[in-house]
Amino acid sequence: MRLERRGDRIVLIEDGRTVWRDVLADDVKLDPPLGRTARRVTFADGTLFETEESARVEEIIGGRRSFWNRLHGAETFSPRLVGVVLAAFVGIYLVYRYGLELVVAVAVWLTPPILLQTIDSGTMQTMDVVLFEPSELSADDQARLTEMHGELVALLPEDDVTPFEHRLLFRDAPGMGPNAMALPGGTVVVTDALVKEFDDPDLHAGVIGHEIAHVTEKHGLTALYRSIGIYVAVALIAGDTGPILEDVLLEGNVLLSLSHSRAAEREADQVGVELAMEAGYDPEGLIRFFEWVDEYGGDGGFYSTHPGGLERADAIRELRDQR
Amino acid sequence: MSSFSTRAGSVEEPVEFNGRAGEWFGIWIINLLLTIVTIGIYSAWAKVRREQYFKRNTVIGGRSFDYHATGWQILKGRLILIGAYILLNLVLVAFPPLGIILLIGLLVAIPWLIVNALKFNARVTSWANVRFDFNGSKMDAFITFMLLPIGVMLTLYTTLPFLSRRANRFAIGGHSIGNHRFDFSASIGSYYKAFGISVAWIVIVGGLMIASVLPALTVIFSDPAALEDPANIGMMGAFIGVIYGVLFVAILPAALIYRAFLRNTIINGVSLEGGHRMFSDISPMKFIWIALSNAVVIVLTLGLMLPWAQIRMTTYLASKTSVLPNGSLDQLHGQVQAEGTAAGDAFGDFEGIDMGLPV
Repeated sequence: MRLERRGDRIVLIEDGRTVWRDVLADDVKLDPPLGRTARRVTFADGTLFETEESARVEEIIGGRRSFWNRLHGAETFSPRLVGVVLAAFVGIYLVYRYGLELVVAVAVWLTPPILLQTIDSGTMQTMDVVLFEPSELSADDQARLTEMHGELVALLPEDDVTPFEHRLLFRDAPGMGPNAMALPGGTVVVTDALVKEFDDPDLHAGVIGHEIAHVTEKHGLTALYRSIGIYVAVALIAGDTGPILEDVLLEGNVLLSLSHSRAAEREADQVGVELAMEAGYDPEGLIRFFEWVDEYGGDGGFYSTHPGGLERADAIRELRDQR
Repeated sequence: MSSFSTRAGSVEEPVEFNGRAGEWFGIWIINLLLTIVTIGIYSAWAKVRREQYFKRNTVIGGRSFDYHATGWQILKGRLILIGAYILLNLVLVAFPPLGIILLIGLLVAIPWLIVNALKFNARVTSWANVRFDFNGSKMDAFITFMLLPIGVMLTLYTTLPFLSRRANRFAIGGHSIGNHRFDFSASIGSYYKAFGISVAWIVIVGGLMIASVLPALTVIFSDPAALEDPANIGMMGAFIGVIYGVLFVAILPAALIYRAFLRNTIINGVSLEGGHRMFSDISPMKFIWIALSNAVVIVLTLGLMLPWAQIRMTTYLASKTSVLPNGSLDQLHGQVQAEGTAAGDAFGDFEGIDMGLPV
């Protein structure tokens, strides 16, 4: 079988005699070169002609100077690729630094409240099984803190109230000590130990304000989208990472995103303390809490993503003095 | 060849894979750079190049596979998906009561998407210039991927092997090449064997990890006074650490183990109308070793060895896979060639939607 050019026609001949196809050159398609694979010539009726002679077939059909041919040249394994690798690393950094933030911001903005409520109720169900016990606090204690939480929420601007379902829940969390957490839909959970360990309304207001700030600044949702975004970006840019890394990238990342970043903690400190101060509480309360964390909280584990306690206490003092 | 005896006159045809790591690296890194430079748009064309590289280098009986989708088709499908997602969210933000109606709409849309994605991928794939097709039903997809997973959850995952087998049958049995339909059958016993091994891994490894911190945990859990002692807060760090450890060391690898021990079962369960079969005899331990060492190498080289890892895995799987034609492969080729429309069927607008599926 031979491919020949006769004027503006392409002819497929066997044994120099039998003509199998005789068509206009425009009705024949030569696929772009790819690695060492055979070049493919496809006729309009679907007939496929394969050949290893890449240069010859380009002479006959054309396309030697096309984009794809130049791309094929660039793809060749050679020292030149070192430059491509460096450019790729720069590009990946830029995507991570700016592109991801932009996409995450759009996704956060697009998220309907109903989805946030679903995340909250689902997470609470899981946590109640895995981590939490029912609270043993007295009804008085619970009512007092619920009222405090309501006071703080009442001071929020309209835009920070409507998208969420602000509520305060109490749970006994064995081993977690005095602690609190916020979920994207507006749920704030305080541990029994936080109430039992400290008889200090200023401290409680500071901690609850901090958690409300996580909600209104959408820290949880942002972290969740960031980890999903990394997974999608890796799949889109690098392709299939194999059975292990794929799982680690998706499930591992989403789990890790449950703990907030240092930047998010600082922002929540600032916004939360301002909220508590506005409601008439003393910022010394949160300062006392962080000094306690510094003394007993340790460095690893649960607090590892949080900035050091003393550093945070200092930042709050600075904020207080500015006022 | 242990469990299969080839019929008289038929020859076992190995699956050859001719991809090379260096060559694929060049294509991959250019794909990657162009994808970044074009803020993701080129990824559609990158996918075409990736699929073509792997399919054209996969050869059975001297005839290779090929991938015929164009970058435009894939880009269009992705834009439609992104547009639909944004529209869905905007509607939910603006009119929250519509949520229920839209959720019901999703129940219909997801099986439709699954079937059409499989159909698209099948129709743009060919072997020996004969196209594949997919004709699985949307109802089957709905039952398999939306209804039954809830039932499996209710049985605490003890019936997962039945769902896996059903998903395999749906994905493989719905395919055809030319007019020849694929079929799938496998005993549930071999699924439960793979399932049992991966559950055993979770129980033994996860159990050992939890047991190692149990003495310390018992102290703080049993004694309320110890719980109140701030000095024990550090224990929480250890506790959380163990939860992550169990996830990464016990639970995530279990999925890999399940896959490794099922691979032969799945491939050996494939048949093509006319008495043609497939055969696989991978060693599950070797598969796990390749997957694990690939992951380590990729991480240590900041991703630069990913193309090498992909070629390594594909080469291993191909080397352990073969086709058992009933008669000769030339006869099979002749049959499907006569039936197949080489140009492929016409595509609808939405058939360019392409998505990864766990089957």
